[in-house]
Amino acid sequence: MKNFTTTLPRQLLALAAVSLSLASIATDASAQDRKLPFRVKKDGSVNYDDLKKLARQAPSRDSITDDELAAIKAKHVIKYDSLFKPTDEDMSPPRVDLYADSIILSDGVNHTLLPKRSLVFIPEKFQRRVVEAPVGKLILWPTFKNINSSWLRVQDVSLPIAKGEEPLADGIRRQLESGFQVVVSTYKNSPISVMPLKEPSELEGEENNLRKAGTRLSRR
Amino acid sequence: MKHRKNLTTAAMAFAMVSVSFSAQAENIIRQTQLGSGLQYDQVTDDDSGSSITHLPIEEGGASYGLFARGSAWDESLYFLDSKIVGHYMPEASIEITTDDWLHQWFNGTSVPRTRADQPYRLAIRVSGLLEDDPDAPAATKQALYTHVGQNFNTSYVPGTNGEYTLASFYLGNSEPSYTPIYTALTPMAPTKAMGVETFTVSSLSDDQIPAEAILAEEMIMVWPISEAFIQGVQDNMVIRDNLPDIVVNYKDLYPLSMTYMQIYAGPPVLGTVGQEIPSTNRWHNTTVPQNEIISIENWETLVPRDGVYTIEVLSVTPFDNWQPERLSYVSFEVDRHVNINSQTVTSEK
Repeated sequence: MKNFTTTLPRQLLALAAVSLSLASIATDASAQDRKLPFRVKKDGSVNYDDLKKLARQAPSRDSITDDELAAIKAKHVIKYDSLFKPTDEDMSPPRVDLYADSIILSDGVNHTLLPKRSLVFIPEKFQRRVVEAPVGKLILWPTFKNINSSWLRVQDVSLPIAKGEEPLADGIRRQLESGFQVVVSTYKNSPISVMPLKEPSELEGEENNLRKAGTRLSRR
Repeated sequence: MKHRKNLTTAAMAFAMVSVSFSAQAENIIRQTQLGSGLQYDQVTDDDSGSSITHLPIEEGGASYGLFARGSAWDESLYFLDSKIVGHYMPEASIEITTDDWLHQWFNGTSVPRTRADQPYRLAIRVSGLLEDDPDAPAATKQALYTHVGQNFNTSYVPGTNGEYTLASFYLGNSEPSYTPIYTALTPMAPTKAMGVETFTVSSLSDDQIPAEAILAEEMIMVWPISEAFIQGVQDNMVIRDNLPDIVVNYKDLYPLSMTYMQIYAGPPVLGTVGQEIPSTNRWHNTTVPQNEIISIENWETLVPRDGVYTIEVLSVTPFDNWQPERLSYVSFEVDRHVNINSQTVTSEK
């Protein structure tokens, strides 16, 4: 199998839309529909007279004490039902740390982040440009590449090469390795990992898994 | 936060990643193929932040992480959102509801907040797990549910104390909800709980999908109960000479609150509406608790007649239906009446 896309039935290809967003609750109609306790001006400030009216109400209670609160909380601990099976030990949710999950490349003044395995070649003299901790400011890749074009270059790779299904052509590799620049692999102008070259048996196994998955999906 | 799409008909997909936010102009979208670990970065530099990723999704699915750099003065990189796409991916959602819904309305944030003593509602939904399919990967038969806490330090900087696990369970398809529940943060004193709780449903790793991935995650900010410390007058104090200056420390005022002082004749009676003491009210509509120092001088006009008076510090917040809550009070007596004991003696010669 050279390319996943060519081995799958056409009907299994789909377009997926993923929306990543900062939820803008301020435009949430359900929130706006709720009754506000005061008028809000166009600039977002609150009508002060309305606040003063709130402050003219009779106080309804004293602040709760630690003992009172502890007693209330003890009565309302979350009681997970039997569908929740306790883990053997305390587990934490997976956490995203882009720095820990990236190559940090520095020019001595600033740094940028790249996908792991995206450095195709690093000349000996630039080994120290790959750092463990960030140096200076974070400069995102397109700008960092332009600033440091004297020692940085990109090599566009195909998807099979990125996925380790095909090797980088010997001629290209020799050319890159004879140069004096750090080489970053890209796919359609964006940095991409180049996975280790797979053994033929691995490729065959993946193809079988895909066929099984396709069959299973068509049954559902 | 919306989460992964379940692609029941797609073993392979090209994904369009749409990013919509306004403040940051430089963002990284990191696509990670869950099966192989292959990573692909796309940098966008426009506010609309819509990008088409050219990298097909592998069988194991793919995760997308959105990271944005702060504004000009803030060059930190922030993780904003993540999504998972793939077949055999269960769907999950978590919803947290508090009485302070105006926080989200005012501040445009998706992270709800509450106060240490206020209840909230938690609703969890997990579906699409293939519990009865013997051929399905193990990771698609159950999910991991975690509830973790993270205390803020006194300067309210998140992330300094580290997360600690409050609960962790394996969870199948289900749709439980819990209300009322209270913060489970473990501070020194319950009323001073201050931090963030995070509820997460994540996929488990297995041979086919070695990476765990977040299916749904919601946080809730918890802020402490406000306090007020009145200095200058004490309970049962009798003021015979000049009225003392009063200094009041407002501490941990709720980020959305109106705090003020009132005075009335007589001993303390909860529910009394007195005269507001001028220049003591403080309105805050912000994101973290506030501290204030109030100074009251030359307040003779507030105590026109001798007698017992009570000064109260009150605060109005979104809780208890915006009814004022008494943070502190002090009762004292003003006795300016001067008794002159004298004797008049006359004599005739």
